Amino acid sequence: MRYLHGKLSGAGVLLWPVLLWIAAFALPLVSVALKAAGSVSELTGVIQSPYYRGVLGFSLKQAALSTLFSVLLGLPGAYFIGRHHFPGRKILRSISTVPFVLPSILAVLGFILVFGNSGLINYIRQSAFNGNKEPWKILYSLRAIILAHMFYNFPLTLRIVGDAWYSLPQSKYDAARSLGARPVKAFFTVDFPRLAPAILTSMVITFLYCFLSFAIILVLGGGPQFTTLEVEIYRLIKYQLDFSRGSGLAIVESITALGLLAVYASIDTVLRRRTADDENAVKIRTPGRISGWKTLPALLYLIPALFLIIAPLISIVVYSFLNRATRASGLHLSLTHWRILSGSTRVGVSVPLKAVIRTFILGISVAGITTFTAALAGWYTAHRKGSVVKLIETMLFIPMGVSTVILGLGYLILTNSIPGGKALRLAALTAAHTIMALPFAYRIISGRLKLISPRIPQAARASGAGPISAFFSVELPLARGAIVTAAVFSMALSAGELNATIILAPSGFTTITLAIYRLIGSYDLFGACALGTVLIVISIISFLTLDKYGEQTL
Amino acid sequence: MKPTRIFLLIEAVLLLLTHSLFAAGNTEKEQSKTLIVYCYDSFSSEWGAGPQIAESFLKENGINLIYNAPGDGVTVLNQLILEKENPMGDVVVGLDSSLLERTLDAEILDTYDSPALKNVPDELIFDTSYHLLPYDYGHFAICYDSEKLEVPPVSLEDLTSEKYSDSLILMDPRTSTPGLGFLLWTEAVYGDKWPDYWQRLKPSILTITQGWSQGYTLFTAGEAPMVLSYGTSPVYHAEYEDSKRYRAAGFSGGNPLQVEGMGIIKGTKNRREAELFIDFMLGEESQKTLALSNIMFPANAEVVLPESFNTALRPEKNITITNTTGNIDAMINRWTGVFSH
Amino acid sequence: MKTSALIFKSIEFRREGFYLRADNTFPAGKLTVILGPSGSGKTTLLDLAAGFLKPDRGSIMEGSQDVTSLSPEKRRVGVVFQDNALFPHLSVKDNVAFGPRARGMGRRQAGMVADRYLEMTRISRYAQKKPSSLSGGEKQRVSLARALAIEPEILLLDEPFSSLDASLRRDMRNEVRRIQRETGITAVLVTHDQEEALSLADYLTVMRDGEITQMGSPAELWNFPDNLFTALFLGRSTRLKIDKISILKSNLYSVETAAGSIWVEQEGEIPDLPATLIIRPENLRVSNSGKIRGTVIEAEYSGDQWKINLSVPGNSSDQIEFNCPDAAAPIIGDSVTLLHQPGSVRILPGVVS
Repeated sequence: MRYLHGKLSGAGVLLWPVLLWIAAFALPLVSVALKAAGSVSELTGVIQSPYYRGVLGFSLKQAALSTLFSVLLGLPGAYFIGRHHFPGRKILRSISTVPFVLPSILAVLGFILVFGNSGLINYIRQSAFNGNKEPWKILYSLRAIILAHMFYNFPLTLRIVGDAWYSLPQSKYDAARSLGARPVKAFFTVDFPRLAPAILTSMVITFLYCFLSFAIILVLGGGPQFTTLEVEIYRLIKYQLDFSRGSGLAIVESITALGLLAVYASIDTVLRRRTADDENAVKIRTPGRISGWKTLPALLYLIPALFLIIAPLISIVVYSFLNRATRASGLHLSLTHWRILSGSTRVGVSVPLKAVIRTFILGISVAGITTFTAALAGWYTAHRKGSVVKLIETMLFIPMGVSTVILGLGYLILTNSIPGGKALRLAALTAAHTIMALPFAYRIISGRLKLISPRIPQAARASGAGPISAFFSVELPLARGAIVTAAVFSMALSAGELNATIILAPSGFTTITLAIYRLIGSYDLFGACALGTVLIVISIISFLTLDKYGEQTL
Repeated sequence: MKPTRIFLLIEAVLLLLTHSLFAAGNTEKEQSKTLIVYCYDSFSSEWGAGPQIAESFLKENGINLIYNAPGDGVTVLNQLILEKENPMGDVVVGLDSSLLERTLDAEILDTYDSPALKNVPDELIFDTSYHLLPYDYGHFAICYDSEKLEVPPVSLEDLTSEKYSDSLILMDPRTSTPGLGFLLWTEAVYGDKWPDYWQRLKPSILTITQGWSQGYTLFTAGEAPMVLSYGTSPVYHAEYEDSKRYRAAGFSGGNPLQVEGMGIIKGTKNRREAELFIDFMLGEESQKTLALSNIMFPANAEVVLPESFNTALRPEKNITITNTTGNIDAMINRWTGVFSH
Repeated sequence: MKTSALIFKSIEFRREGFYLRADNTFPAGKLTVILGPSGSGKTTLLDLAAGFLKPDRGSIMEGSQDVTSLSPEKRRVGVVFQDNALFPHLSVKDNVAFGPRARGMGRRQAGMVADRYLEMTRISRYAQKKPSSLSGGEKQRVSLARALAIEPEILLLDEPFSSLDASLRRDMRNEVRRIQRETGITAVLVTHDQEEALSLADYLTVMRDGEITQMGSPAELWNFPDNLFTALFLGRSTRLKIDKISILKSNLYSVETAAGSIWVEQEGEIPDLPATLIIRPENLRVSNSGKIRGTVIEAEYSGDQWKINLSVPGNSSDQIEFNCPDAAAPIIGDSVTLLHQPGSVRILPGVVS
């Protein structure tokens, strides 16, 4: 009876996350597994094929390179954002998350418009050289793949590490400085080890994203010489209906990803143990200003970094105002394509406003449920030890390592066995987005919760607050920055998600991303850009608002 | 505790919002007869023909159409195969000629020799067993930007010419229907020697995209002067943008024909309504709506088309391409082999 | 304020190589200090009392109520933590009002309670500030006010002054003493600082390796330690290994040590060998008629007197410590004989290893 109380409340807290995980993740996978009998025997064939080995090799190589460069680009940003006040800091923070929202097709468009053979950079270059130069071929190479992955993923480092930096206690750094360490030395001996878990987290998430990416790799790589496993899975499952071989490949992919996660988990444990201390971890350093010798490197970093994120976004916005329709007139400014918003489209339906509202409600629901779920799981893992904690942590990370094509197939199988109609489909859609966002949200939130001294919730308990109440009134507010970051990413992921949305959204339920995809599918690229602009503007405003709340002084 | 309450409140509001969403979606009247139509995503979308056809079908026959669109045509076929034992739908729209063999193998459709087929030319009836009936068609073609390309290519071989280096956007045959169509086209023209053709074509290819949407987006954004698309693509720009800038190149030797088909799902309990729907789809009103939304030629030859359709390619010859499951794997292997250096 | 004794009944608690036992009563309305070296289990004892940890065996009572299975929020125990554990996102007043609110009080009423305790701890003027802008001493006052605001029956203080500087520490000590007396609350304070322990405590206990060795008034523990650990941990002591004990008459013994043959007057049973002789420094003085001999190895000046250490030839673990007025202080290397009161010497079981 002694431990009954604690165990019961722990189990109660885990009930919801586990149920969600089973329903939205395990169930679809099991339903695929049931269809894919014999995939194990395919495994050997897959492993022995030199072609697939090459594909796996390239998947790993491009993911490793993309991760390296994304994190390298993100770290200085994390430093500036975590440790300094400067004009545009908040905007940078918020804008950097926008690529996450952008449907990949618009991201590709934005990229082409800036870096393409007839993009902005080449246009400027041509003008400078009187048009005599061959276009500078930036895209359609491994370099382009890495660049695009940087565009997508460096905000992860920027924000996850930036937030960690922001909440790093001052005293140790000061101690190191007072013992005579120069700032750089003090950083590497004191701050860096404590940032390492956050850096590692952003690295792993970035790696998995790049490892499973494929639309961008095909388009910007320029051809099938750049093929990832995910392309082959997509082909086999979707176009060949070859479930057993497709699943075989997916298993190889997942095992690779999970192997990586296992390595990550053990390194993470070591890192956290090494930097664990009894410190309160709430004495926050006051950010300084960028001045003196820091100005030049800050500008040298911030300007290109901003260019990398903002230029593709801006070009989509500008493009939506262009009209290049008639042969005689060429490109000129026009509001023609914004008709789409007023509803006077060729089919005469006003979709976009509804789509905006639906995207929003869906995004908020997903963000709410995701952070809630992540917080519950985070509470459990921050307060307990042992094998259950490890199990939960693994469970919540696995979804990152599983191909969305497989998961999509699972949903496809499930949705027709539950005929429940719109309500169920919407619930399934929300659940699918939640399970995709959960690994992030959990990492971000639990990372912060683990830094809170156990004495703080104990103080609340002794004051008369129950375990759940103490969590909500004390620990969660302390992890507010992390919660907001998690919510922002969840919302962004939901808003930009396409694959599950297409399968699960009931007819008539159109999100902005879905509308953009359909507009492009019906030739209306400019209308899609107009809608893309709306998406960009709304995201920036919402992220700014959210971030403002998250950054209120502690 | 206050913060707890706030959090619970937020959760409650969220659930309420989500539920009101469901409710909003569920207000459709269910008393009239309904027919469940499986279709690809762009058919049922706001910019597709679906909503308009549903409206007039309800008016004319008093039957509600409910669309189930899980993705593109291939996904629709996948779903039909997955739920073969326990079919939920009545009719399917959007399985094209390249999916014929797989559709027939799966035995998911019933036959229906619609009387409305009398207005459809014989060459479009790609399934002589009448499982899949044609409703519109087009041709795979290379579209070009007339402002950038003075002289369009005239044949597949012409595409390999040096003046077109880095000028062509293709789609990946592994992940897209037009991409696969093009690969089969080269096989139809060059027979067993098609890999050599691709070897020669390589310098002309700027990039190979995952799907048609990305490829056409790149093309419209001005990244390359040529793209693999449809012979009817120029119609859109003529009809909705009043522009004749983008054109389709007719190739000597002809272009591959792509016909989109529909059929009655085996096991439907609404056979009569399903037949009504198929006939209705082939009627003049629906055919015109389909032509203008899908930017494809209507199957019904009696339909009078808008002037914009004069910009569409009428190839000198229809090439028939066949997609037989057996050889695809081997072809894809050889195809990736071409690019492996 | 209602007060109850805190009672540990046959408590056992085991964690990875650590074993705590306790079977003690912390008297109602008194301030009991637990003194012990770090790692002795002091904080664990408090965590058990607060309900943060659950014992493996035994029960914990608050007065007549068994609270063993109650979670912290169900007990009426206020805790002041070593690192104060204030809620950094709440103002000082909200920190103090947190407990009353959590226990169901309305906002206004909780505010009034908070104001009362802010006043008692003399920090009303910081009510609206965030904890991060306060000094260490102020933070501990807030922490104290927060613990008291739930009007607990028992107040636990875990090294509350350890992060404060010397003068602030003295002030806070007096403050805690005053408030404890004012409220008459049962308080248990944990510290490793013996000066603090001796000056504050109504009752003093010494902990070692998860066990309370002795409990009593500070004077009792000081003058009549019943074990070697308490005797040595509490202040400086002369310690001499006993070679032989002979009874002279009832309660009077002659004890052979390397430093000489010493008379001891001790009531009750005398422990068997091995045993050690303990003498407090204030009970030794230099005298030619003394029986205790040694050589000065250390002499430390402390203003009013010298603290002298002698070594004893023949037994390196023996040590003699005494205080000596300025004028008569021997210097290092001198041979000295010391006189003692037989009644001030204790024979305790065990030897210093």
